[in-house]
Amino acid sequence: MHAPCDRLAELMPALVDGDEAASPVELSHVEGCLRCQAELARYRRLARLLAQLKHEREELPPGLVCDVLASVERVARRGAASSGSRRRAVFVAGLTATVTLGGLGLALASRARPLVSRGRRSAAGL
Amino acid sequence: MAPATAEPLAELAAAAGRGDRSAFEQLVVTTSPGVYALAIRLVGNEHDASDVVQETYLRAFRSIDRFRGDAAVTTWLYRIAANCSSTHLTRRSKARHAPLDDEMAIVETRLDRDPEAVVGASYDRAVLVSALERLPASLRAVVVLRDVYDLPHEAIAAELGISRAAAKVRLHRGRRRLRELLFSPTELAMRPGGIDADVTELIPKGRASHARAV
Ligand SMILES: [Zn+2]
Repeated sequence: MHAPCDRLAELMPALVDGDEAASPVELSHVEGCLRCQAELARYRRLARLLAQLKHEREELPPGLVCDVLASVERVARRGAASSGSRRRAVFVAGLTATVTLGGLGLALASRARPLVSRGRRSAAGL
Repeated sequence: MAPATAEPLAELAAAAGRGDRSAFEQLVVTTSPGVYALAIRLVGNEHDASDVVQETYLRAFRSIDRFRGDAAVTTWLYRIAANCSSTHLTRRSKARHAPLDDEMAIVETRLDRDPEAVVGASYDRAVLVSALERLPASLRAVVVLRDVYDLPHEAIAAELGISRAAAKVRLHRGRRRLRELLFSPTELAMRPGGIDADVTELIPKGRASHARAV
């Protein structure tokens, strides 16, 4: 039987980043147990691999940025209409031009569709 | 007009909070590939991820004037995206009459891709991503938010609408499941090697030298 190893294997997902602390007895067992060290190493490796995913960027589906900005425009327009803010309304009117310019910076221009052509329906019902 | 080069996100967010719409648009352009990547991890497919991105930025737009800058802009966006994804997954599982815990990712698994075609780190990555996709959505969300995006337990619990204790339980269960998927039973899934350097890290610093001597 490997009672300490089995108990530590259960604890390992919590021990690996200090979510829970091992008792001194358990710690000294790990120090002397190749099996537990190997298990710990697997979790360490898993943690390293997961952390590497953080910096991944996905290429957006064509048109998504424009759809997002169009949705924002609708919300802003509604807000401007309800608040009666003239300044905001004027600002909104200039949006189409700004969107195009913003897209240029990240080479989105080639994929960008005309802002007003297609209103992607947001699941938020906006 | 705003310069095409990316300004520091905090400045963009501050300007957007003062009503500068072109700053908000630049914020969207700059951060959306990362938000989209997170959404893909959480909801598992491009269509739902696109909806999550839409909802995330609408909510961000509505609350940008209250963004205080005490958190990183990306962390703030990731939290919103996590919340939107959670809502999305709940809605999806209800539509399927399946509890969230039982719902498996619906994307295709890629474990069977030709191992010769992808080697080394990219092979490990492919195996890991495939294993993540096999996790039930409720476990995957916590693992992704904690272990990939480094959000605090409190933030994860708040955005997923669960207790801190429940978030931890799911995290540990998810890690164990991944460990089983990646390394069991014969560990053929992952390349061998490269693990010995880590074994002393659990041991408190004062005892590390002793551990190495063992
Ligand atoms: Zn042991």
